Amino acid sequence: MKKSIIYFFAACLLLTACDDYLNIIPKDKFIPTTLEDYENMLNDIECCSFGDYFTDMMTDNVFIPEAAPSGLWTKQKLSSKKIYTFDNECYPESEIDQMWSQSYRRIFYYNSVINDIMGAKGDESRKKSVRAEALLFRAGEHLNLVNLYAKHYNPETAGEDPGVPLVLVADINAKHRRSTVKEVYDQIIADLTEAIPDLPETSPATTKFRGCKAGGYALLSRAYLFMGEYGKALENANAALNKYSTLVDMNQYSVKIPGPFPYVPGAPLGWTTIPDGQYHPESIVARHFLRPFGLGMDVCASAELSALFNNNDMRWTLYYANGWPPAPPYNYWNTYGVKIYLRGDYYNNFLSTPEVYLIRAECNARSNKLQEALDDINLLRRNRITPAAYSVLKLSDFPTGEDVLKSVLDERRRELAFTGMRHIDLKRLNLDPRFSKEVKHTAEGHEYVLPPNSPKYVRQIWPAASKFNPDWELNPTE
Amino acid sequence: AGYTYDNKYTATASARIDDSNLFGSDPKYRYLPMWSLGGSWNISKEEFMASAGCLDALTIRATYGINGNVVRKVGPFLQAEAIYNPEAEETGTRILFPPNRSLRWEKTAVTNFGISFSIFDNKLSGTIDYYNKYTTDLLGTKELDPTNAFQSSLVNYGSMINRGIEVGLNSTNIRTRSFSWTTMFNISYNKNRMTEISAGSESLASFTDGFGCDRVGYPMGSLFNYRWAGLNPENGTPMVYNKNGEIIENCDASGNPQYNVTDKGDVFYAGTIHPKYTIGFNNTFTWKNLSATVVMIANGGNVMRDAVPMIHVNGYFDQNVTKTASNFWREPGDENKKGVMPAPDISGNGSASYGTLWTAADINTVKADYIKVRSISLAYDFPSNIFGREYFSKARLTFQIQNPLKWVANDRGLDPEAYYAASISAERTLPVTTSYIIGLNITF
Repeated sequence: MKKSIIYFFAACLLLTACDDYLNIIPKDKFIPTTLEDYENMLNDIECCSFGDYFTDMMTDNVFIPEAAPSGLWTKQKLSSKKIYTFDNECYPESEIDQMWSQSYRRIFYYNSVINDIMGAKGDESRKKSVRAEALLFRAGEHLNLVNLYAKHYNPETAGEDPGVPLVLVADINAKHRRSTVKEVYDQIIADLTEAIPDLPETSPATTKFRGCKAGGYALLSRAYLFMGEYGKALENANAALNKYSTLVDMNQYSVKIPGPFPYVPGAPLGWTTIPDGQYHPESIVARHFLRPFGLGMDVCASAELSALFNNNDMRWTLYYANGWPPAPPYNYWNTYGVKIYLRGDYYNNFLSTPEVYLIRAECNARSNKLQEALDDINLLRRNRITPAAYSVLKLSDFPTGEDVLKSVLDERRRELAFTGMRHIDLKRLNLDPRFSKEVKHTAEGHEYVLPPNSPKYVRQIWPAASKFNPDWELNPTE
Repeated sequence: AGYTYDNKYTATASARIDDSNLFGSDPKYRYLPMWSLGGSWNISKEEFMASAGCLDALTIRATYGINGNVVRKVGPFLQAEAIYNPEAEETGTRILFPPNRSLRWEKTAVTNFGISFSIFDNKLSGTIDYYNKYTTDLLGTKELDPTNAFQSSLVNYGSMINRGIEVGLNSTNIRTRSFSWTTMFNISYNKNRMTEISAGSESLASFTDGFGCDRVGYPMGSLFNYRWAGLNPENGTPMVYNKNGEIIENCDASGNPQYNVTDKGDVFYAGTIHPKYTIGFNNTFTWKNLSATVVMIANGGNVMRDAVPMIHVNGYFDQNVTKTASNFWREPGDENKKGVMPAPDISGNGSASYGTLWTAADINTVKADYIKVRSISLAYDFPSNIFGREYFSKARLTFQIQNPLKWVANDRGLDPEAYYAASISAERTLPVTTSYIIGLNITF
């Protein structure tokens, strides 16, 4: 009996000596430890796609024809139909709201880099540079989220308006609250300000799917524009364009495949010769939509948007078509006076030079620097309009400064259509009585109206997330 | 280690400390001492039992111990894989499993009381055990807040109690010089109850999940169903009773499908998907060189959802469906047809939850009890001098029928062994086929 007790305790002591062996990382699993392991997180395809192209369906840029046989209404998913008819509870618990689930998924990647890369093995300055890129991308995600699930930044109420969870750690057990709109913007500004000094001059990889200094300034100028801080927006737009300002004359591009050929593999959509976003000369920092061609082939441009274009504009003739197949009754132009947004292209929906020029022009127009504003618009238009039809816009063409601003905003609407920007522009312009407007959509015989500043502009928090957080205030639905 | 005194009293003890780097670096989660203590009392050896004639042996025993369970796939480290991303022309690091710094051992404390006995000159012997197992820090894949990027992960999520009885009997019913018949019978009955749950969703949608849900006070894998109130005579949409017995109509003002159940109290416990009892019953007959064995099993005490077709959505008929799917509501009056399905959701405006009104209706959940004859085997041993000389030392001819017979408690013809429960709806799988096997085994 005594002997067995002694053996028993001896065994216990032996086992505790195994401690040192068990602090080693298991060998059969890939656990990131080096700088390259973490840097490659930014190269993963999960991080290179970005954003929710369905937000455009609630805007005044979209028209969905219903009449057979060319109607596009019946092919829409239930959630798209709800977005089009201004139902802000468009994603139930059982359907994935990609804006929520994929944005926070990417934020997990970025937080893994931000919080852990400095402890990895590798060159210190390179680590800082990669970490700065992750800060840039995290700021971009939070900016997208707060502009969809919360009211627009209004300096008087931003300190109380519920925003979105600020996720700064990669921890599946973490509990978050809805930070206020102001807290989210403060964090975005802080992330970008911290990142810019360390961001590389140009993308450190083969394509533009990575960050760079010009991108930091461009995103900062976008954030300040949304906040209504036009002076800071202008400053950062200039800083971005000083680093990178390439504009490309779209007249050199043409249609490669006019439209989708059913049942032909490799030609499911129309296609142009415009380079993919990650190679495009105008891209500063590139991202695709999760469906890289966004709403291509699903919607028509609205009558209002169609009236803003003419056939001398390469953006109109390359991205939109009268109809497909060209024969009536599929000819939307003849039936409705609109064009279908037809062509696929893996375009960049993150940071590109045209947007920065437009931000600069808008800030100049708002501070009455009207000639500077027109200079930028003319430069952009020279790269968009056919040479025969192009003419310089002169100050004398515009009776008031407000007319110059309207022209800038119209150019912005043309240039950024279907890039996921319009609903944010509507929300911020609705705060200004000069530009606030109603949006009207007709579906299934019913006319739906979205009044300015309606709660329906704010998408409901995804129930699959809010069910774990009963303390969160939900967005109003009326 | 064990120690027996006087051939009658035995005490046993064992212990082990396991340490793992798979779990959080926090020491309180790393070390798990596993141990057990037991004692047994061989009553039949006592003097006062010497005169108990038919009782050959009787032992009473009791044990108590703690053991643990660990899963090796995830741990405190972020696990990734390297994947080439052609769009970026670079290698990407794809995150496979997030780190979980609070992952820890699943622990079970087991108390067991048992009796082993043998009577009638060892003609009948057996064991009866009663156990109580209390498991804490259950490991399982649970739904998590997608704001932390992963909608599900392996976590410690709760505690449960399993309590049950296991009985095993062996009897020699007949033994003569040339014929014998022996029986082996065992039955186990288990009751399970969740006592604590700390992870996973408890939203209304999770109650009707096809795999069952875990709720405190109910067994693991509980099915919760709607109380079916028939189809709406005007539009064929499903109606259900709420907790007060009132009818909830699941359509909007124009009669289109719309899911209108909002209260978790309107779904009712229907049972667990895990069997409560298992029975094995084997009989072996031998007569000279011939032997026959019949193996039977039975399972039950649980429920399962019928493999009904889902409500047609959006007019997509691009797959083969079972014939029963053509029995759906078309016009007023159809709601009285036997087994009729709700009307199709042509506009596609119903949601995934709307579909559960049919798949999780109480009329579509059935008992999962069954009895099967697993096999009947016949064997003949040839005498080794059958051809006059000893050509071989042993030769045996066997003939076996596997899965010849079954009986199921449900009236839908569902075999619980040819069945797959999915998150939304259940499906039949390929049937268990009867096979006939013949064999000859010769040893030289």
